[in-house]
Amino acid sequence: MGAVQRDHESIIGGVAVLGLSALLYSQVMPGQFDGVALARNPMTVPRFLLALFALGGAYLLVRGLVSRAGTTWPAVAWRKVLAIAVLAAAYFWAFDPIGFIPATLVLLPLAFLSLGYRNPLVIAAVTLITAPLLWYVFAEGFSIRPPGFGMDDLLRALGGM
Amino acid sequence: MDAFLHALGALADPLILLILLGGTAAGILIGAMPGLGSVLAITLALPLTFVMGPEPSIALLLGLYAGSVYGGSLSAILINTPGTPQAAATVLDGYPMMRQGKGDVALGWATVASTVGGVFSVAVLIVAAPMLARLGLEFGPVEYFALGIFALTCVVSVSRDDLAKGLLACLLGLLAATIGQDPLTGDVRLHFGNFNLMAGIALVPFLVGLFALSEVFWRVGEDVHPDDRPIGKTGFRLPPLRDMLSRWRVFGKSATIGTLIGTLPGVGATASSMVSYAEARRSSPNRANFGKGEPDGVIASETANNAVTGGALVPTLALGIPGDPITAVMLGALIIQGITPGPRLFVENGDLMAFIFLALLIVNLLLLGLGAIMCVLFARAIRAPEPVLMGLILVLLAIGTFSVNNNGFDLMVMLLAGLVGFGMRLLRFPLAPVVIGFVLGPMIEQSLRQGLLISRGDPVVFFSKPIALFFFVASALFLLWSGWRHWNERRDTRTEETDA
Repeated sequence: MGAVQRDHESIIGGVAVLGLSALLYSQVMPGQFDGVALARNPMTVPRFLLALFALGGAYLLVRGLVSRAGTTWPAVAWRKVLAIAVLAAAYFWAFDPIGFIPATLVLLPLAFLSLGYRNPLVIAAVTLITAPLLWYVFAEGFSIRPPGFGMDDLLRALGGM
Repeated sequence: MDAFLHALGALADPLILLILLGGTAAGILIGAMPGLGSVLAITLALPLTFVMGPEPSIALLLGLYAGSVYGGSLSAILINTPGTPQAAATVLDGYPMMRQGKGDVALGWATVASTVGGVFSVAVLIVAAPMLARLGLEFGPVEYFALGIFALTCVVSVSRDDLAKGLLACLLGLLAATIGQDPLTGDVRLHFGNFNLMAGIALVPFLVGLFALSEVFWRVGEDVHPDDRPIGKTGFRLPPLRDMLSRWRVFGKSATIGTLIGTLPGVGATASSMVSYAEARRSSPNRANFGKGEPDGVIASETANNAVTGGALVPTLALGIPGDPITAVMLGALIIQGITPGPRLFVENGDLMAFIFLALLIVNLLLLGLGAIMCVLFARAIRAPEPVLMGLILVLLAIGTFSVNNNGFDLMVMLLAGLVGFGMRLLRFPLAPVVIGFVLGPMIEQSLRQGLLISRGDPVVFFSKPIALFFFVASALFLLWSGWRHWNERRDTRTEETDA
């Protein structure tokens, strides 16, 4: 925990809102709907909301700059957050093209280890049980086959041997 | 009376009872799994109904329907992940109770509230089905817009710590809801040139990312030793009868809100639980504790979302108009059975109607027993060490979200929503207003523009209908009252500081 002299939460929040507003501005202001009646114009509501959003962001920024009230940041284990965020992104990206089972077999041990869990037996057991079990529950129980190589492929391959 | 006796005879069949029990248990399980939901639960059962008679089919579907709506509360309370969108408001107080070590009581409140809401709505369904169906038809775009605005005022209540941040969070949700196809003209907007965004942002990945994935990031970032975390150990405890009776107002009001909103086509259980939560937050004697683990919050959300089950069946059965996507699927299932819902259903299929009423009543009573058992089982499953639990939740979130649309893009939406949610938590923005805006946004926009189209651009139309006027006046009064209360609180704080 570290005390700061300004309301940095509001300043960063205000800048983020204004940045997002700028990003949305390019989408909300195309001229293709100019001249269309308000009720028929698809941009009427987004433009109104964006104007309020940007005004709110500016207010937050000014409030943060003017305020003398200090604030405290919560202690965050950034390395762990970054590790799990990167792992999650890689897992979500690989989920469809590589397949549920292979992606999960890689993700789980890496996630456990990166979060500081070191029991190899539990890691192996949970990983080896979770992936096929969830695949089976979704594929057979809910009739939703997870993507990629599955237990049915495995059984077919074993049957063909 | 003959119809009810006939229905009782049918329900005494052990096979029907078994199907009710199995359907409800399966519904709870599916509802508790983040990403899956009531629509999926019922859709999965549709092929089975082809080979079943009308009564077993209806028993199965009703069990799945009520069970899945209730099941969403289990994961909402235990892992801060609403299993179904209907349980989004349950998270707000259910999970804080869990973190305070009162998870067992929160599950008890959720179970009792779901049962009360469900039973109340069935009673209303039996007594007032035709009348309520007609009231629902009174709602046009103007009334829907006014209802939406009234519901939005609850953002003021859920943003007590910082109103500006709460309003900005709500605007973010409203803006996110405008991405994709315009509901009125079909034009595509705010898609950033991305093909996947043309259909808009789906509710499930958005909700799951914002609440659940950001919770994973947050808990990982708290840097507690893997074996030190006390939460995750909970059971099931029914609240004392005295406590239940002392909260009868919240139960009654939430059940009424849920049933009434359920009768309105297109609004659904998610909006109903939000409106009910907002109403409880503004009127409960314990409103200062809302968002910090207040049982009234759990009661309001769970009573209302389960009360929708009976309410939504009113227009479905009486008029053939489904109140939400779930009842739309149920409507299809009834048609498969050769039953045509509509005003003549009550006359031509009186026995079947009585069967539906009584079966839904039994399902809601079963929730109490089955909920107690399944809460304990589900709670045990989350007693794993923290890193193992977080890894498993990540996998569950991914497979649950992916399975809704079989679309990898939904996972990216979930990731982005998770990162945004984490950032918002860090900067102390409340998350609830984002969801409120996102859920209510489409209804508000559509009804506003439809109202303007009908009146040829004249906004006076919004103040010319009695129901709409009632909601506008209620919204204005609430805002004034909130402002007055806020001013009083600030004055008291200043006085205390001066005295100190």
